[in-house]
Amino acid sequence: MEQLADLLAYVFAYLRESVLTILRATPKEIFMATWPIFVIDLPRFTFTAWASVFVEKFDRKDKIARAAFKRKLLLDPPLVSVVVPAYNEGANLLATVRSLMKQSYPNIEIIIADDSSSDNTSQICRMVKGENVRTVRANARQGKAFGHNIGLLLSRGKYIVVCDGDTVFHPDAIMEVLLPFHKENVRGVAGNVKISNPGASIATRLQEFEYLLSIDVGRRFSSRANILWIISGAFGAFHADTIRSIGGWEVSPGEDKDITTCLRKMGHSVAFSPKAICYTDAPKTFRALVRQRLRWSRSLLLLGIRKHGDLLVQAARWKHKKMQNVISAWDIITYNIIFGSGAILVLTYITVFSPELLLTVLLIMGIVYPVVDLVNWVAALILASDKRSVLRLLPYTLISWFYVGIFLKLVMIFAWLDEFFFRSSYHDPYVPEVVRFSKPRWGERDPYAELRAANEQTSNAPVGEVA
Amino acid sequence: MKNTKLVLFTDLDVREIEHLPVNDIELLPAGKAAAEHLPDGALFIHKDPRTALEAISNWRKNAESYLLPVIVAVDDKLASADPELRSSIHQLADYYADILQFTGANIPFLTSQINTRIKDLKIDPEISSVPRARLMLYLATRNISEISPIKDLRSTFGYTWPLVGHLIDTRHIGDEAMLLDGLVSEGLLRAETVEVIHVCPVCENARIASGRSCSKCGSSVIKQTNIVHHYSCGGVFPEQDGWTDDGLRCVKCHRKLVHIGVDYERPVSVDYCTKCGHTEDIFDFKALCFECHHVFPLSDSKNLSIKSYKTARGAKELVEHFRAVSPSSIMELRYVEPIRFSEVLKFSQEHLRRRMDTFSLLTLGLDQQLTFKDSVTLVKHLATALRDTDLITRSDEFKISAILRSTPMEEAEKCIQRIRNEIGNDLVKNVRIEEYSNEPGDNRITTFPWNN
Repeated sequence: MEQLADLLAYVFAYLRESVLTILRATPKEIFMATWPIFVIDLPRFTFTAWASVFVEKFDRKDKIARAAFKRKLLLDPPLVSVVVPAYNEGANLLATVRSLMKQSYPNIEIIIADDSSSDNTSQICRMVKGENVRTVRANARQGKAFGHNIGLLLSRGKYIVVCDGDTVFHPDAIMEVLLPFHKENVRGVAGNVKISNPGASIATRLQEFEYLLSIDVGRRFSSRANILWIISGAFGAFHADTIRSIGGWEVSPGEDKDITTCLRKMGHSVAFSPKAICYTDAPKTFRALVRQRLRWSRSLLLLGIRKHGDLLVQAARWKHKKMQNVISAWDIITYNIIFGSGAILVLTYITVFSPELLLTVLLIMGIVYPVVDLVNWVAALILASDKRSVLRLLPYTLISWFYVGIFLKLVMIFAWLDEFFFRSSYHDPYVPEVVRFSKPRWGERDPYAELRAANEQTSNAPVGEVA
Repeated sequence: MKNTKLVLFTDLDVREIEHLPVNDIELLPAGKAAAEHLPDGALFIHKDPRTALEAISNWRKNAESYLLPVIVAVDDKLASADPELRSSIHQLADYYADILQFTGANIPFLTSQINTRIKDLKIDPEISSVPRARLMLYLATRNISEISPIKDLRSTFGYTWPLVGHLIDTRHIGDEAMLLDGLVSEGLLRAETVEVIHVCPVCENARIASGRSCSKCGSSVIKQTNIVHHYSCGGVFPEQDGWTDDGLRCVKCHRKLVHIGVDYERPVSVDYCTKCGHTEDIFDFKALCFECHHVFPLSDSKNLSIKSYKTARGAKELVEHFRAVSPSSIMELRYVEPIRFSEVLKFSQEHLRRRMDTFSLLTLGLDQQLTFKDSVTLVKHLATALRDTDLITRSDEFKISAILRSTPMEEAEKCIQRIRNEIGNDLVKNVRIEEYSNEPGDNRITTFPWNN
């Protein structure tokens, strides 16, 4: 009892000292604790969120153009091919197809690419097959990119929409995702991805809050500034012929980021449609969430620096030189890798060299960051069409800073180090092993290059001779 | 034993048939003399089965002779060369034999049996003047219980009921299927679907050809092809697009594909149009009508049921029914067969605009399937409540319809009251009145229980 009393007294004294330290802190010390807010959050997220609020209120020209395009689409609707790659999606596929069949857009064909599923996916495919629903089944697992590419090959539509096997669409999703195509140079449109299972756990609720700010609010600005860097694989629409001219999707984790970057390199624009809403399952546990974010972050390094690193310096060979492409490439690198890593490094430095300041810093962050998140949340509330779903997220402004600012950044740093030193993306089971083996290794010498060259020579040699 | 008198029809020389064993059979020459002698039947001895069929058909279409026994001897070898022809002759003949194996042994007995049956039925000429009655009575006197369709590519549907076509001149009645369906409505036959065929949605002709065709260019020259997936670049393309003189190369990155399962895989097979190169998982079926040249997706074709018809009533019931609905009865009862009723209804609708003549269609829903006696009684009662210009028919096993000319809905309701006074509350379950008029908008319809 005495020891417990001593411990409590010590904690109370420490807290009191920390609060007094905060009150006695100099502006310089406060800045040291909160500089990421002024460098990262305020300019990149808060100001841009509120800029979106004002622009969307007063941009009548775009609204008129969209309305006119919508009328045109309804009068003579071009065919839209929706490609659904499915690998063991038996539990969700039926809901996806049903939501597509209930779309307000009148001219849709659905192509389901069954990637040699071992569950009842193929039975569901047989069940839903019909006039507007076609299915194709691979006899061995080929990966998600193959599903997209075979759907592209078989599609007849002017536009192609890709999604996940568990994506459920809002009835107006397809119509809304086509509207940004009223601009001639837009060849890809990102849909607004929301969580379908927000109440499953605290992890899903936090992801719902994160998606709200980063996708629903954040991408509006990126789209208007033409620096949008990703069209999610969960819901994206493309101009079919343009994708064919690129050659389709890449075999890699992060194929959605890759195709978006390729579109930008070709000189095209990509946009975001906030009213094109879809719902997808989020990882329910933190463990599953970590696995997902590790994959995403590795692909960020793999594609952002290794494959498309030339965008960072705007390589002269790209004839469509656009400043927005450079800004878009640096946007991700700067705010995710450089500043994100910087914030964690500073915290690590404080922890190692000035541990007495750690609690103070965390306390300051715990007060200031929620205020910033609250300001961002208000912007999201104004912009959102479903206010109720935003209102229930208010309590998460208190803890989201820890989830996004510390937890996810730690995961990201681990992923980048893992990718940088060990190239773990090349061993990601997201891509089937046999396909992974053949994937080109950007930025490094291909250990199988000689073998491949030898094979090519052997096959070229006349029969009976050894090369 | 009294000799059986048979009218002789032949395409052979008389001397050629003199040797035929026709003891106890008196052969009468065809024509006027035969009519005076009131034959027991007809004997057809033909080398050519086609002329035999034509002659038999003419005999059967005659209202005076259609029921009389028909004995046929043809060259069976020639007849066998055309199975449809042989089948038709079999259906129309009471006795069939090869001309070389013909004996007159059982003929007197057979003809006597049939004639006795005919005599028992006491069929008067007025009944025989109704074409569909002739068909039913023929079936009844021969104990034929079923009229089955046979395949005949010359017909619109690809099927015919030759017995109908040879007994009745269907030119003025409508096609064979319509006539038989009308008999089903009258409760005289039962229909059973034996086949469902696809017909052109425009002209309802069964002569259509279908096959897969390219959705882009319409070509039907389609092959199946493997899809190649190049692992390295993710290229997906039809295999034949990748073959070069140098071997298989990726269409996307142009690298050579050497080892299946290592460099590339063929995970899927799809349809490929050889004309335009378009690929789809499976091309849709399209159909072409040879009659009107309409091209349409096979899924748009109409489904037509081909039915086999079984007799539902005995011979005596049939005679009673047709006596009740004979032409003179029609004048008295205003009763017409369903096909005719439909024609009158269509005619009335078409001329509605010109004649400005509002008429009502009355439909009585019956409580049960009526026997002939009850249905005749009901029709008689109906007739007393209707006018001379109105028409009645039995449109369904459970429905009797009437066209009330120059009658708006209010007058039709008064007419219902008169009918109810006549027939009471039995037999009829509900009544529907549909008024056809020139008023803008849809026709007025009212339905109410009979007891209301």
